[in-house]
Amino acid sequence: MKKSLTKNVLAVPYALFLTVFVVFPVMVILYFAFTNDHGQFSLAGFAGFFVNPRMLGTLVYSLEVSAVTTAVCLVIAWPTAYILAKGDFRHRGAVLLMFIMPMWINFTLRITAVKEILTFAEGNLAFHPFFNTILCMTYDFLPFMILPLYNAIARIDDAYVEAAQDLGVSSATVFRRVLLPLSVPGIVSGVTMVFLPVMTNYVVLDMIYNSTYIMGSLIGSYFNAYDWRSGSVVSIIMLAVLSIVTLAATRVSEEDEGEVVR
Amino acid sequence: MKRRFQWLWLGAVLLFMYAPILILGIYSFTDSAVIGALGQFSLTNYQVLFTTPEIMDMLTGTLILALIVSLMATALGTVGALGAFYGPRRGRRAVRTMNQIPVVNADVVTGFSVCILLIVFFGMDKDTYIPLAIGLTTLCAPFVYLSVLPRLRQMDPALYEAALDLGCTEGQTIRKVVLPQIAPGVFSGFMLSITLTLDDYFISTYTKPATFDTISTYVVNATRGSQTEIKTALWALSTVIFLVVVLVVFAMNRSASRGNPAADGRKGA
Amino acid sequence: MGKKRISLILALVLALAPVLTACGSAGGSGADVPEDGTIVLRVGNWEEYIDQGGWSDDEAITLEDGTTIKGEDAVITEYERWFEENYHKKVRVEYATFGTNEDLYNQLTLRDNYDVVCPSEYMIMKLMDEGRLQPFSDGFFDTGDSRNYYVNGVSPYIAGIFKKLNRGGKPLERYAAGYMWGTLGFVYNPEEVSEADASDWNILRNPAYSKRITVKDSVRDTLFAGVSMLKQDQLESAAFKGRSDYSDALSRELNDTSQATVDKVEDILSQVKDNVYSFETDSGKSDMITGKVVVNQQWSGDAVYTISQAAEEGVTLQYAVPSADTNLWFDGWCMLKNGIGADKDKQQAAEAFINFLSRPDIAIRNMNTIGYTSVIAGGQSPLIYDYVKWQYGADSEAAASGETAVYPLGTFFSGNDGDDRYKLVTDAAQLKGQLYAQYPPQAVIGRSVVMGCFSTEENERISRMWVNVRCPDIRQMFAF
Repeated sequence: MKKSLTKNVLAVPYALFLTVFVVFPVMVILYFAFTNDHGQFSLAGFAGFFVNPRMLGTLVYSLEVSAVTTAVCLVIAWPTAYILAKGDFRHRGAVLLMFIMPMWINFTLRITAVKEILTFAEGNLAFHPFFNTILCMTYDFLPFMILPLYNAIARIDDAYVEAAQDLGVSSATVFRRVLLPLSVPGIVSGVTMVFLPVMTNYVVLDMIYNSTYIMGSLIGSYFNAYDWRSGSVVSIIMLAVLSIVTLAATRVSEEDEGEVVR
Repeated sequence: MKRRFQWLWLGAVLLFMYAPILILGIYSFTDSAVIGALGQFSLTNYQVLFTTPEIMDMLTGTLILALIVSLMATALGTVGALGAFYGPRRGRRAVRTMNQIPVVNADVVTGFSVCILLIVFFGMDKDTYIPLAIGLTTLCAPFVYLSVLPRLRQMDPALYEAALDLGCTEGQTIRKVVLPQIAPGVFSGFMLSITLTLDDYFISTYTKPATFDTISTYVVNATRGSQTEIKTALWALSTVIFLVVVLVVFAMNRSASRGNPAADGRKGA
Repeated sequence: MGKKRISLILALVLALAPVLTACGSAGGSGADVPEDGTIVLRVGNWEEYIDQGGWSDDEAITLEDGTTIKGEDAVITEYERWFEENYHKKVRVEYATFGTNEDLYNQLTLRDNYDVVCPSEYMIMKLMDEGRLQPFSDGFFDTGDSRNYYVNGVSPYIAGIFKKLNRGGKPLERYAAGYMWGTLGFVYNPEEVSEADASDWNILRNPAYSKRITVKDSVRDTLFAGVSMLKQDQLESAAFKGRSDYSDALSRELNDTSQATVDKVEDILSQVKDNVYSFETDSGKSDMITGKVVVNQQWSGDAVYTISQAAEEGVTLQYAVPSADTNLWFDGWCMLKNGIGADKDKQQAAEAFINFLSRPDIAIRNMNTIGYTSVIAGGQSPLIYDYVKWQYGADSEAAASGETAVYPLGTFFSGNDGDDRYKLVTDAAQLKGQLYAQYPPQAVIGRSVVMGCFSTEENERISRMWVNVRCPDIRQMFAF
């Protein structure tokens, strides 16, 4: 086939857009993160971060909040997705939509709703900051975990389950050896969509009076103080965490794909 | 037995997800200032919501912003997906990698980095709304790309060949054959953009002009503040948005069930 | 073609962009082409910090001599009219607001969009240091000109502060004119909190009130509280209070930002963080009224508003100023060199604007609307004091039941605390309430300190401390 101009040119505008507005910003914050005030290359920013017990504490606390939220979301979402995907519904699409719909309502309004209920229940929100944070984060991100899990579980061929049952395997084992591994792409997808945003969404903590900083709060704080360098250092660390999570996710899903096919 | 348990579980999860919004909805129709004692029926909150110029300006502004950003993002994302699908191999991988970054990245980092580039490095003025539009488009376009690309892959390649064989130019083929085929993907990408823009807090905060507010920034500031009137008016807003979303979603579901398979989600593919 | 579609979309976007720009509310725009002869004055102020007019009849203030003050039109509009009448030139004000001093500073740095602004004291000092401010003309200080309401009406006490404060040899009074001022203290619920506790900075880490206290989400205000807590014993000691240079020494101690002090303050504030309900910017007022919080660190202006609001709901709140020291804050108008430059007309319009705001009836309107205390005492005009009498004078009920007290306001109005003309007979409750917040007595004024602006290095030190306070300490998480 003749090499056409249209084909080659078509990708250019978007590629250009992405280069300027996605790649360049990353390069700029890399610049700010790895230079000192005199413009020379310096690892002082990162060194300063990793020797500071408070910064490390923030990182650990953020990871804690993220991990617990992700785990809770998984525990609630998996059975939900399974029932939705494999259950017997006349209007499956409509029922599924009901679980996805909160995604489309602005999260600040949803958090406000939860906050009011919690205030009524607890009286003073400041006494249980960690619990409240997990609750609100779970409330915010649960739909984002349900959807990819649903998509993955829906794709599981019923034949696998039937075959296992025919072989006389218990339900628990069916779950552990067949359903769970086959749903891994969905788990991976869901975790990627929940883990990092939770670490950085400091607005939720602000709204429910959790005064402790998470990684996102640091960026916000440095931004308000016009401290671009420190903000960039934290951003790069977040990107690093992101890369690790994405790489691990890709590795896991590739591994599992191999296993299933086998 | 199993079926009952299934419904019970689903019901519990639904209750968790909707109870706060519904309770807020009920209280929005009363004159109570806090959740607790149920006051008397009153439409004051809705009155305040629709008559306060500050709130209405904020809502119209946010909607117009969402529309403009989504148009730009849909245009870019669609063209990008077309280019990636039909273009050279190497280009496709580059675009795909770059595309993934805003999708998996934290909003805070995206907002911060775009702000640093445009406002600190290029010295743009936030008041022109350009940083805001660019920031949000950067967030949304990759999701449009991800909505459209699977459709392109699902398309029967024979159609494309057939059109060319019948004498269409490539441009005509793309316009008249391909685009209609991927239209559902484009549309869901567009709706996704709208949702993302309306929901966004961080990119808006870092790139918006000082006097402009989106729903998220307005709500966060209002819940920090002391005016009870505004606080309860926002309960009304939450209820209104909830009802609108219900209507839109079910309208989309009905039209979707008439033609194409179930609606795409955020990360369908 | 694909290209055609792209260009169509681009055109659509370009066409819609102006719609967006028009949709944002009137922000401070940049260069604006003035019509023939009209002076364009770009004013930057805090949000909700000026009277916008539109008062209803029952909001009108009727003073004892019969004068009625009612805000019909916005102050800005009346200023434009007044300027044309008195100076025979047209002026148009472009009014915009900013949220924080840092925001304002950043706006001025990235692009100059204001001619006259109203920053807080430390930002005025910073702008002075950087040579960005235009000094007032000599005509501004001419007390013979009746249109110079500021110099003729400013409180002698405030004027004295402005004269004393100087940066790099230049006195503040040449560059800034006061607008509103106040102190920093605590609004508290007297049924839950004793006055003694509320007058103690250490209430912030007092476990008896755990999680029922709020502090400001601001580095400077919490720093001030932290330093005060650190040095409270020293500052309360008889030896310190008896010093001949008490004011200067107090100022020095509270403006101490040495690394050693900041480190200790960090520890103190960490304790505070664990003890408070939240770091708030604005929610403190409503939380006090609902009773969720019993102590709230507040500026005096906000305290007035909070106490009023609470009174409407039947809750009595009081204001306390810590006995060791307090922060004297003020917002002041200053002109920007970049904006005014050599434009004599603009300078005249800017100075006239400041003077107009200082006209006693306008000052009253602004005070009444925003609840803060104006620096204007009125000079020869009795209006301001009459307003205070109208607002806080003891009514016949109180006089009959004998629950009145005499509150001396001389320090503010004439510089002399013993001045009999300014001894107000008021309800006894006001001694701890709004009047106390709006017009602090001599004792409070005596122990108030202006917090200066800090150098870049000091600011970094403080910012680092602030972030440290909010971050969890890994050592405590794993109990190393």
